[in-house]
Amino acid sequence: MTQLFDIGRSALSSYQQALTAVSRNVANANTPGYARQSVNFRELAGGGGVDVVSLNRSADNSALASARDAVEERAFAEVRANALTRIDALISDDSTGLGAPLRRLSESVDAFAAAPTDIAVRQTLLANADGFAAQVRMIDDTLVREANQAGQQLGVLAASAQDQLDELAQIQGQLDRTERMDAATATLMDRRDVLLEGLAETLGVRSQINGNGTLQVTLGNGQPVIEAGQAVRLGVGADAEGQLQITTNGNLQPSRVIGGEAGGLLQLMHTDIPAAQDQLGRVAQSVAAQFNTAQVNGADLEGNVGTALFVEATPRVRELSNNAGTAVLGVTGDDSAELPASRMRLSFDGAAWSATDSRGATLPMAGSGTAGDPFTVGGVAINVTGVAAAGDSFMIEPAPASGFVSNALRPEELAAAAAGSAPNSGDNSNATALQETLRGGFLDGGRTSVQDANVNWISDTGQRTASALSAVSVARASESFALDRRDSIQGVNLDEEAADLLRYQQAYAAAAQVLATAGTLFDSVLAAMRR
Amino acid sequence: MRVTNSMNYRALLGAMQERTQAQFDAQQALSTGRKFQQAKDDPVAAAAVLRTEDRLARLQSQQDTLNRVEARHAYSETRLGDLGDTLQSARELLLRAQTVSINTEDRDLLAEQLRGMAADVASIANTRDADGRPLFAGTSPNPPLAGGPGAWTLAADISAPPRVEVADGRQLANGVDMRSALMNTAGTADIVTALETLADAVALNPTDDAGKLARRDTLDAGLVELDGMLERTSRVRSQAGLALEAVDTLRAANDSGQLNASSELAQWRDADIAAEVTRLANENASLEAARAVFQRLGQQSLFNFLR
Repeated sequence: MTQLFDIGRSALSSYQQALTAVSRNVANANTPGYARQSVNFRELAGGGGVDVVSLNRSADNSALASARDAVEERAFAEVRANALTRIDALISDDSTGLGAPLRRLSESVDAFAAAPTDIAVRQTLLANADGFAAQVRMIDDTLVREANQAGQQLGVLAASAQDQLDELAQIQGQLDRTERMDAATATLMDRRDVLLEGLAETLGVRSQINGNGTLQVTLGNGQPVIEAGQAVRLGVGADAEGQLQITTNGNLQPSRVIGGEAGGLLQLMHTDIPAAQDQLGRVAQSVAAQFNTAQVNGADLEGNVGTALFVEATPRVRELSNNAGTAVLGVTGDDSAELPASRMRLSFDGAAWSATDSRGATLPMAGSGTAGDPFTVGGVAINVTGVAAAGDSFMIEPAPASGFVSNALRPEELAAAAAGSAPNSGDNSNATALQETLRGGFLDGGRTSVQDANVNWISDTGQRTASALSAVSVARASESFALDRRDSIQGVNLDEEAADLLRYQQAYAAAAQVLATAGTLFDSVLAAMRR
Repeated sequence: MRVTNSMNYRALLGAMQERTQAQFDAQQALSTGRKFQQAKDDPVAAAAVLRTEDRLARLQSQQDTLNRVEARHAYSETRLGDLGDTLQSARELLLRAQTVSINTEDRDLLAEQLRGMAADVASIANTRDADGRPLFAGTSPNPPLAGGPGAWTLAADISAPPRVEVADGRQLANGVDMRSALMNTAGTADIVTALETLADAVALNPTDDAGKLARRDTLDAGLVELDGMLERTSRVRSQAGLALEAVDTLRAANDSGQLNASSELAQWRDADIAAEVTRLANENASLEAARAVFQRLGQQSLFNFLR
């Protein structure tokens, strides 16, 4: 009879634990990262009842790892695609892109060639030139703002990742000291998995949970971010080229080892925005070069040689901060028809200079780098003064569009007539030549007009945005697949929980009945004794 | 595969978001009337639209230039007609001056009329356009004839008119080249001075035979000169006529070019409203269905049956 009591009591206790696990599952059905819990029953030795041997946490490390990878890829793709979509909208929209201002400028040159002495036509041309320059600056401002925002966002991400990393180090420390799986341990593990997924999403941090429960958390290059139970200090710093990078304990990390949202931001800041700025600068400087050349080749309405309509900026040189030598580079555009579409790097290896483009491909270079015989590469002439040390590098970027302005000319100062024409001449030969240059090929060795260059830029950005968006679709689909796989294992199905609740409730009631029966039997025995 | 509540929720939410996005796209297409909103939606079409818009703008510029050229040539033609009429009147006047019975007073009157005609010719030669620039001086800002009666000089800087682009690869002179019509046949004097010299000859009243003979020869030569002037004027006038004819042809080509470009633009850019309305209706229905499924699934739970 005592056995009956023992069995009933063990069953009541076990089913109570099972019902507790079910109620925890129901309560946390919508808690992110929660892994479904269940209890493992064991028959007590000697045929005496039931016992809960352990709490079972339904989580699979490989499914969790796949989910983290998928989340990281989706985050990376989304950040970049969203920014590219904004750039695409900026440059392809009628009101914000260069298409309409370039068209108006071209139309006013047509009118200028047809009516070279008409002051109203000249005023329109000047206004449209100014409008074009303003639009170039507006686009550049927006791109700069986009890059600044990305830089700020990178700092926010690094700070948020730091919080996650600190908490993770603390949780893992507690988990390392835990010996058995109970509800508290399961809660810690749930939180650890949430943090790991968050770190994958923000920084592309890789993690691996080993069979013995130890955890490795690293960057893309395998460098640990939790060492001896301590989280590294994350930050943002500028590299030798002046580009923002993620730092760990103050050391710069190459952008290729950073993924997730931060990786997307880095790609945006280092590649996508500079590429757009380079294209913008190239279109702006080409227009400037064509107008300015035409101006000095002709005579204005007062019989004077024309003066530049636009302020032509020279390519920008940035010395790497870790250069050891004293070399200084003087850079000028050598042939505006070959304006470079992207930035390049000029390096000195101790014996010779070489130039590479943004992808690292070597560019053909001529000249000896002196004032009399400058290096000519990618449309710029470079004169080196001072002494370079081996390993010194310089970044050469197309002229920035930020200071692109038109000079305040009077309408009479536009040079429509051929050089040497008398004042007030109705000759339009210089204006006609400008009209033809604008329409004909100018860039890419005379194959591409400025309007074509703008169209190509827009369509190229459109293509890249479209493929970034389709990468987002693919990443979302694969994320959805990976999350389904994870949730299929660790997620809660309320119907299942309801069934378990019913099952354990019935078992609990039955166990209580066993106790009641044992009590009745006991009472019967006592009554028999009294008789 | 074990299906959990979170999977269901995510799938249904994802479906609703997709449908909402599609509904938004259809609404955008309908409200803007455009197939695509930015280059990413269709990079090829975006490039085609920009190129077509550029082409359309160029055709419009060329149309504007054609209008300018037409206006200038039409005005030139009118003024050249006036010149022809004046020269014709001068010729008739000269014929009358040749009659034997003419008296001194008539001669003086005819000479005066001829001088008036010379002044008319000078005025025609110095005609200015709407912008105040000489119509027949080419690119020069100065009128062809300077000075006044009895002291006319022909400007040295009269040139051919500037050529302007009226179609791709096609230029037309923006005005007539008047240089040949402003000189006498020998190229020694301007036509106004030549007419004034003739007027002087008309006014002559020689009494001796040699003088009469000389006057007759001068007037005969004057007739020949006037015939030459008329012919040169008519030749210049035909330049204007030919240019106007070319303008007509080019304008027709330009119109059809603009029509083609506009319809090409519409093909690349404009939304098919009927298709978009249908798409919107479909997306609305799909979204409604997704919402209904979401609601229905949310209501179903085994817990509802536990009492």
